[in-house]
Amino acid sequence: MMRRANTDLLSGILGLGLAGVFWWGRGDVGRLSIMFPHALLVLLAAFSVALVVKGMVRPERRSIFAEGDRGKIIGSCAILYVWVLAISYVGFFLSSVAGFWVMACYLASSRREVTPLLAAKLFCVVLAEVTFFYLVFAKLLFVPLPTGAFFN
Amino acid sequence: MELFWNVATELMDPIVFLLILGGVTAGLFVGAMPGLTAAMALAVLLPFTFKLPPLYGLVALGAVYMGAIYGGAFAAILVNTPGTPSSIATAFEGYPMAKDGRALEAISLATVASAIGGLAGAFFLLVLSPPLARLSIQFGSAEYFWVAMLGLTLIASLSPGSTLKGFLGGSIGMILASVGVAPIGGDNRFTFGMPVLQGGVEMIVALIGLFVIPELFNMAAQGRAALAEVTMESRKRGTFLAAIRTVFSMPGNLIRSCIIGEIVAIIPGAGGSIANLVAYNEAKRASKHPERFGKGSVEGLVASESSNNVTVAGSMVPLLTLGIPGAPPDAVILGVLLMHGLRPGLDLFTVRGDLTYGFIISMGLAALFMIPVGILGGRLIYRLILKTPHYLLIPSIALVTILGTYALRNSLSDVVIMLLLGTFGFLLKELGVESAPIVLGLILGGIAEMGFVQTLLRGSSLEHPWLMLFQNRLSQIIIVLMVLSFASPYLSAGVRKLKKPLDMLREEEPPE
Repeated sequence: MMRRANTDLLSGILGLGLAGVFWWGRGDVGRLSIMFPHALLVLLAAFSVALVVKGMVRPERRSIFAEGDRGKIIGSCAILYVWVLAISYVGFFLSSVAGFWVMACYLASSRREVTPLLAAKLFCVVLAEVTFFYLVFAKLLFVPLPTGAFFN
Repeated sequence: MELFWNVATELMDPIVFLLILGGVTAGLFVGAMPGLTAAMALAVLLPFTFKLPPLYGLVALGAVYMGAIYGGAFAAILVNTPGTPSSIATAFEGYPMAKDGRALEAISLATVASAIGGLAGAFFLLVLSPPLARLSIQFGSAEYFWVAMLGLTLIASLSPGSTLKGFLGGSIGMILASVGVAPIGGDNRFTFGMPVLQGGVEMIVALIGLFVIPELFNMAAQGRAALAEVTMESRKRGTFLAAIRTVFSMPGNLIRSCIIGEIVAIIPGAGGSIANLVAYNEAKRASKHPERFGKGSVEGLVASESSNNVTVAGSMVPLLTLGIPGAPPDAVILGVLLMHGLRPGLDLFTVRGDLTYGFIISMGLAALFMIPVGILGGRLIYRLILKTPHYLLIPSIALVTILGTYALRNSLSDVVIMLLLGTFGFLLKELGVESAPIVLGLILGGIAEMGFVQTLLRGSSLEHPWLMLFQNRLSQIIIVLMVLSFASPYLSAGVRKLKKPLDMLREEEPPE
């Protein structure tokens, strides 16, 4: 991965890409509904072009993804996505216990060896915490948390 | 005056004190949880107030509201996550302080500033309601548009690295605000054929994603929680008396922030989410040390926390006088008033003055109760976060974030949007585009669009409808303020540039 990158150019290209996606996705809508978003898209494109030009003339170079362990970012990100996507299939409680526990073991492994005993201890803590929050939200605040396929 | 004393005596009731204590504590817990809003807390409490006498019900709701807005500061300071949109600017200064081993100092300062803000708001409401209400109805659609534009000038302050990247972030935020059903016109925009996007991108969902997720990724990458152990020096500065001394050592900042909070609060729809950013920006511009902002500036923290707590009582001005709820929690309070047969207006201050003044004074009392509750609660939460190993803290924050986001609209799609925006925000942050301008764009985008399109519709009979944007005196004043706000950093930089050679010349001149 890049260490020192021309962030003006990169953010300008990203902005142009975003403006393009939104321009394409504006659909067939009435004048009143689109006049303001149109102006915003023009502005977004203008700022992006300005950044691209600045990136070519007087670029700002800075280190990106340079702090810490990049693998841990990708790993945590993946666990978080699987955790959230699993909620609709197995429900909030099960997916949260599993997602929380896997993430805790994964992050702990960067500092110490995750022995079966530590994993078991972590599981108990995770179970208690998820149960506490589940009860607060579902029973006290009456939030209908997803139950998933198993409890339907 | 007699009425005032009668009300004050009525409030000297242990039940009232218990309601305030319980309300502030519960509000603090809700505010500290990302995603749980003051409106949600009031809505949950609402059924319980049905059984209470009207004054008790209003006292409890006011205390919860006050506690929730203040509670947002805890998450902002300790985990860089504004618990409510009212504490976005608190995170800018509070979190760097906490990372620097000054967490207790930041909590004490935020507590004292919040209490002063809460008291100032109650005072303004008590004394200045009628003239402020008259001012609030001067705001029409054109003024709303210009207020949003004035708000966008804050972007220069919120993007320390590059203003251009700040404007890029601001326009991304405004475009995100326009996703979903158009407020005027009613068409679906930018939904890409996905029905879940018809409801738009909820501002708090974006706020949580853009602030929390990048921080979680950073903590995971560094393999540790971000808070540092409190230093001895900071422990001394974090005492209640030291915090009072520090806050009162900047009277100009305090008064300015309270006035900004009050003015923003009386504009229906604006509220604490804008007030804290405007006050922060003005504190930075007026500061002798603007370079300290973003690195743990006490001035910025005090400005944010005092202004956002003014808005709690401040937003009651249009509510109690005109029946216009300025923010979602106010709508719940309006519901309670109507349920008890109380109609906003003059009668509320005369015929039912006992109830109205009782409610206002109780909000001042709630502000005072924030001090013991906040300082004790803050220390407890700080210890809890500090002692928790990073591998439990990070997934714990993720759990609360998922729950809080889901609970907003009971929507799993919101959780996915939060996660996607968070990942996108992390990438943008690496490229130097900060989250704050994106969130500012999201907050102001809807207000600006409504004001803009409504004004053009009002002027549709004119040859040039857009001229309607400039016709009112109040609009013109806001435009001047906007131009000054936008130009002032460049003007002061120019003046400094001009002064530099003169100073150098003076230094080179030999003494006579």
